[in-house]
Amino acid sequence: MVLVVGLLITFLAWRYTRDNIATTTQNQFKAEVNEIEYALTRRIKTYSNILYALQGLFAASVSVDRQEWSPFVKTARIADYPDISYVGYIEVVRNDNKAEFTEKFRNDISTYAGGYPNLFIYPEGDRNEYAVVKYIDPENTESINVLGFDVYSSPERKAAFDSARDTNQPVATQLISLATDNSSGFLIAAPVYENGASINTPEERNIAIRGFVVIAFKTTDLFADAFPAGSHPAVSFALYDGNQVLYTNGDEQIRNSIHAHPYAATKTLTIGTRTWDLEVVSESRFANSFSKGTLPLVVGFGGIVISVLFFSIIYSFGQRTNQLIQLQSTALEATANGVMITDTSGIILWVNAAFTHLTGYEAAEIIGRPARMLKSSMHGREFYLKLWNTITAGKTWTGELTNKRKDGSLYQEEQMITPVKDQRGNITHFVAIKQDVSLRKETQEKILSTNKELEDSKKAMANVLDDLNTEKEKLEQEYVKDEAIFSAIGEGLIVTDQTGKILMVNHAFERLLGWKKSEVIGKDMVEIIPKYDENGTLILKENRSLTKILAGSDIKENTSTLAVTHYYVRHDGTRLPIMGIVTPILLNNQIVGAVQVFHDVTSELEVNRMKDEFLNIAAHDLRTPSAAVRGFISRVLDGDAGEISGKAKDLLQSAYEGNKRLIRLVDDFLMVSRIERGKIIVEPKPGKLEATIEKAVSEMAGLAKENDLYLKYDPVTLPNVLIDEERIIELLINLIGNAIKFTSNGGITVTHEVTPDTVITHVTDTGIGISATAQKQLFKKYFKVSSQEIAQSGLGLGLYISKLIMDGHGGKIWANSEEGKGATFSFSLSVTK
Amino acid sequence: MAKILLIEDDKLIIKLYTGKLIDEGFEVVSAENGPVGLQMARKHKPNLILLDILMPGGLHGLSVLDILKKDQELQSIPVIILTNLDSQKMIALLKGASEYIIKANTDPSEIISLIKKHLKS
Repeated sequence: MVLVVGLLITFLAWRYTRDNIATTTQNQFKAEVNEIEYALTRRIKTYSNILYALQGLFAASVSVDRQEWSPFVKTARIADYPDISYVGYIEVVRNDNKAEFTEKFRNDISTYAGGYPNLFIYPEGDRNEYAVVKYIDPENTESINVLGFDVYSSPERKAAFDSARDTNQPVATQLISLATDNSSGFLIAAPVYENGASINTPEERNIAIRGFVVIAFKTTDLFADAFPAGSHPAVSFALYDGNQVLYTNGDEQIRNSIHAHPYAATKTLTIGTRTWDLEVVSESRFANSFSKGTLPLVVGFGGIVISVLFFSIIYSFGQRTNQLIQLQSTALEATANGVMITDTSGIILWVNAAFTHLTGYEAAEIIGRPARMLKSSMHGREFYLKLWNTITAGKTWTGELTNKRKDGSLYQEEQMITPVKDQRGNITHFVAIKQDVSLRKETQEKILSTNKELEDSKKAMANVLDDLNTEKEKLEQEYVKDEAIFSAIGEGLIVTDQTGKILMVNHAFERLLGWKKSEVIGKDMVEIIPKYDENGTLILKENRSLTKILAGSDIKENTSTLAVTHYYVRHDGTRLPIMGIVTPILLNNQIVGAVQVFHDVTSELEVNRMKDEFLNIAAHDLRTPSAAVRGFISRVLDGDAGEISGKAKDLLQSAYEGNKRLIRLVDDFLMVSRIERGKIIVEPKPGKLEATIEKAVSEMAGLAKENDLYLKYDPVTLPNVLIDEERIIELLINLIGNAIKFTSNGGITVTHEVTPDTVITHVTDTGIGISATAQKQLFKKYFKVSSQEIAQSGLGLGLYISKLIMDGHGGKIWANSEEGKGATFSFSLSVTK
Repeated sequence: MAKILLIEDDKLIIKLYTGKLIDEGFEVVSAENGPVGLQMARKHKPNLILLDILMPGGLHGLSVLDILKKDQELQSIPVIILTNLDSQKMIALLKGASEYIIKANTDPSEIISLIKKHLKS
C-alpha cells in the first residue's frame, strides 16, 4: 500500500511540477526579453535626453562658442558615460562660407594658444554643403583629428543626419567605422536649428538647420556596458540594424534559426527614423540558469537623465540671467521633459510644450493658475508639506509622484524642483522638471509582475519540493518499517513490475527458494521460478497466475487466491510445495505490478498425509470389526444358524441397522475428509440431469416402499446441465434418504424448475419438517437435528457432503420448511451454454 | 466342488467367510498373510481367490495380486478383493481383480452371489 501511495504522490508531484515549469519557464523567458529590451531602450532614451540638453545649450545661445561648449560638456560629465565614446557638435557650412568658417576655426584660441593652424575641411574639394566636426569631447590626440571632418561626405552618415534634420529628432546612423579610430560604431545626431526660425515642416527645417549635436558610440563599449559579461547566460540574442549585426551575445545565426527554438521573441527598437531589431531565443533547458537581481539596474535610472537635463538649464540660468525670456522660449521649449516655472507662491508662470504633452494643459490655460491643480489624491498632506518645506528652504526636491492630467487621468512623473535664487540669495522662482515615467513604470511593473509570477512559481515549486521531501521522509520511514516487516514475514514475498520482472523479494523467499535477492532482482519471475502443478506438470507461462493477474484477466476484488498446492522449483532444482496469493498493485486503475505471497506447505502436506493415513487406518480398523458384526448378524438373520423366532429376528435386525449406521458414519467421515482435501474431485460435465434422477429414484424406490411411502418423479426433458453424475446420485440418495427417514405418512416428490441459467431440483416430503433455527444449521459440518428423538437419524454429515458436492458444481443447495408441514430441499445446477 | 482360497489376516473375518462358504458347499483354504497365500495358491490351485489388501507380513494384497496375475498358472483364477479400504478400487481393477468389495458394506450372502457369478464364467 505504501508503495502505491508513494508512486501516486511522486506521479502527482511530477505532473504538478512539470506544469509549473512550463509556465515558469515561459515567464522567465519573457522577463529575460523585457530586461534586454529595457537595457537598450533606456539607453536610447538617455542619449536622446543628452542630445536634448545639448540642443538646449545651442538654443540658448546665438552662437555657441568653444568657451561655452567645453565647460558645459565637462561639467555635465556627459563623456563620463562609459558607453559614450564622444560628444560633438557638427556645424553645417555652406560652400560660400567655407573659407570664413575655416579661418575662424583656425584662429579659435580658446583651447590652444595657437588655435588650429592646420585645420581644413576634409575630404578636400568643393561641395555645396558641409557638415563639419567643430567640437569634440573628450578632445584628445585621437579625436582631434576628427575636427574638420565633413560628415556629409559619408553617405551613411549623411542619410542619418538628413533624417534627423527633417524630422527634428535624434536619429542613429547605421553601423559605421568611426572617424576617430576606425572602430565599429555609430552616431546619434540631433539637429540644432537657427534660433527663432520656423521649423514646422521638413522644408523649413532644411533651411533653418544650423548644425547637429552628436554622440558617438563604439559598439563594443556600448554593449559591454548594456550587457556585462554573463548577464544573460540563459538566452542568445542579437541586435540587428537591417541585415547588419550590431551586437550578439553568441550566435549570429539566430535570425536563421529562430524557429528552431522553443522560446523566441523579436522586438523592434526605434531611434528616430532608424529601427533596430532585437531577436532573443532560448533552449527549453534554460530555466535554471537565470540571473537574478536585474531590477536594481532599472530602478533609479531616471535620476541620471534628469540631472543632465537639469544641469543644462541651471547652467543656462547662471550664464544668461539676462536672457531669461529667450531661455524660456527656446532652450526649455526644446526639451523632451516637461518644464514648469512658478513664482514663490506656486503660481505657474511658464510651461513648455512637453509640459502640455504630459499634462494636457495648454500653456495659455495653465499659466497664472496654481501648480496644485496638478495634484492627484494619491499623496497625503504630509507629502506635499515636506516637498514645499524642502524647496522653500532653498533645497532641491527630487522624487516620484502621481499627478493628474487635465482630463482627470493620473500619470506618474519623476520631478525635480529647484528654487532659483537672485543675487542676494532670495528665492525668486521654482523650476520643476518633469519626466513622464509611465512607460518606465510600465516596464518596471511588467518586470516586477513577471518576477512576481516567477517568484510565485518558484514558491509553488518550493512548496511542492517541501511536500515531496516530507513525503519522501515518511516514505523512507515507512520503507524501513516495510523492510522490517518484509524481512520478518515468514511467508515468501515477491514484488514484480507490470512486466513480471522481480523488484523485491524478502528473506523468506531467499531461505525457501535458495535464490539470493541479488540474483533474482530484475529477472522474469515466471522464468526464473518454474511452477509445477499437483500432478507434476509444468505450468506454462500463460497459465501462471502472475501472468493472468498482470494481464488484468483474473482480477477478483484485486486478489486471486490459489487454493491448490503447486510446486516452485528451488535454485538447486528441488521442488517446494507452496500455496500462494497474487495481488495486483493498482495505480489509477492501471496494473503497475503484483505482489505474490507464498506459503511453504511442506509441513501441511506432511500433516495431511499423516491425517490421511490415520483416517484410512482408522476407517479400515473400524470397518473390519463392523464388517464381522454385520456378517455374523446377517448370517443369523439369513437362517444360517437355523430357524429363529420373530422376536429374535426383530432384535437382531435392530442390531444389524445400528451397526450399518456405524459403518455409514465412518464412510461419511472419509468422504468429507477426501472432498475437503481435494482427494475426491467434483468434475461437472455436460449431462442429463433427468437420467441421473431416475437412477437415484429407482435406487431409493425399495426403501420408500418398505416404509409405505410414495416416491414420485415424472421425468421431463431438461436442458443439458453441468453435472458430476456420480456425486449427484450420492446427493440425491442423501436427500431422498433423509426425506424417507423423517416422513411417516405420504411420501416424496421430485420436481424441477427451469430458469434461463439453471435447473433447480426440489425434493419435497410430507414429513415432520424442520424448525427455522435448525434450517440455518442444516448444511454445517456435524450438524444433527437435535429435536429428533427418532433413533434413525444419521443426518450428521450427509447434508454437509451434499453442500460440498454442490460447491464443486458451483451451485447452491437450500431448504424450505415449516415445522410439521414437510420440507423441500432444493439444489441448482448450471445450464450448459 | 469348487475350491476357494481366502487370504485374510483377521480371524473373525476368516471365521465368518469360511463358515459361510463351507455352509454353501465350497471347499475352503485360508492363509493369514500374502506369502502364505501365494504358497497356498500354487499348492491348491483354487477356483477363486478372496484377497484382502491390508495384511501383516509385509506383502500388500495388491502385490499378491500382481504376482498372481503374472503367474502363468495362476493368472486365470478370478480374484475378488475383499477389503475395508476404499481407496484402492481403481488400481486393483486395473491390476486384474474381478471385483472390489468393501467388507463393511456387504453381507456374506451378497459375496456368495458374486463368487457364484465368477465361477460360472
